[in-house]
Amino acid sequence: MIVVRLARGAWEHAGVRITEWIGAYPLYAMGAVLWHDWNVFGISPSFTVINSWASEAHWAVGFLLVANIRLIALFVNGYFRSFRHSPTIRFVASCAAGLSWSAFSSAFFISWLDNGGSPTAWVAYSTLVIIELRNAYVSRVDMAVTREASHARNVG
Amino acid sequence: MLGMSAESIGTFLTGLGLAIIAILGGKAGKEKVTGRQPGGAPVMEVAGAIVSDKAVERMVKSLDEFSSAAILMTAAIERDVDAKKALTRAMEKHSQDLKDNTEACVEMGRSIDKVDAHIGKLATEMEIQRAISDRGGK
Repeated sequence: MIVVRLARGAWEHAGVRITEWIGAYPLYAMGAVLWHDWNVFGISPSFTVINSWASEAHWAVGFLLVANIRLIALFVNGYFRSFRHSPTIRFVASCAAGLSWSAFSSAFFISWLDNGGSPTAWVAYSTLVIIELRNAYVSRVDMAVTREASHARNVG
Repeated sequence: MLGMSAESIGTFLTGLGLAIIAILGGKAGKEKVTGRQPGGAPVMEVAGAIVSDKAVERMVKSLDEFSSAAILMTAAIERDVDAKKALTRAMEKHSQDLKDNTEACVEMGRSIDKVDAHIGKLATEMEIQRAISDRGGK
């Protein structure tokens, strides 16, 4: 059954890509929260700068899009090994997620300095940036391995 | 700092990190496929295992030492085998000598029995002669 095989493929590579799998959770959760409640940014002065850049809906769409792209790439990479571009998709998703969390961290940092927001928020979100940097590295390695192996097959 | 906002600095740093990671990750992936270890040590496959050149050198050196020890042990074993062959031959000779000795002893025993029988006969004849000469003297 395809669901079982997808799950098995994902499980076999879960060790190396564990942070990518884990990183999908805050992306989905944040997207769901912001999509569900369009007044989240009004709760605290910490969200002042974020709100000035984009609304909850825009942020939610962005997070959910990146989360979906990442999950699809992870499942495809685990099961459909013949699809060579899934590491590239994973790398792009990691870059997008890293930049998103970086923007969030910066916004919370600025809000802390200028608007009396919480200082702990940018610490927590910058941790996600570090995790996404690691995800970008792992997927970049996979990109190079896939390309070199494909090149070797073509030459051979 | 440098006229940049915190957001710009954060984005710049993240982008810089991603660029560095892209370069390092590509290099690491290429090395993974070509069989080189990070740090540049070339690797090769030996009996199904991937080992570095240094490990192969150590294996070859150990095998050479083992071969030298095996040659010395072979010579010692051959000397031991020769010694055991000589010992076996000596034991066979002694065994034959003992057999000959036993036969000689059996022969001597038979001869002693014969001599004993003759001595018995002689003693009997001497008794008879004495008895005859005693009767003649009366």
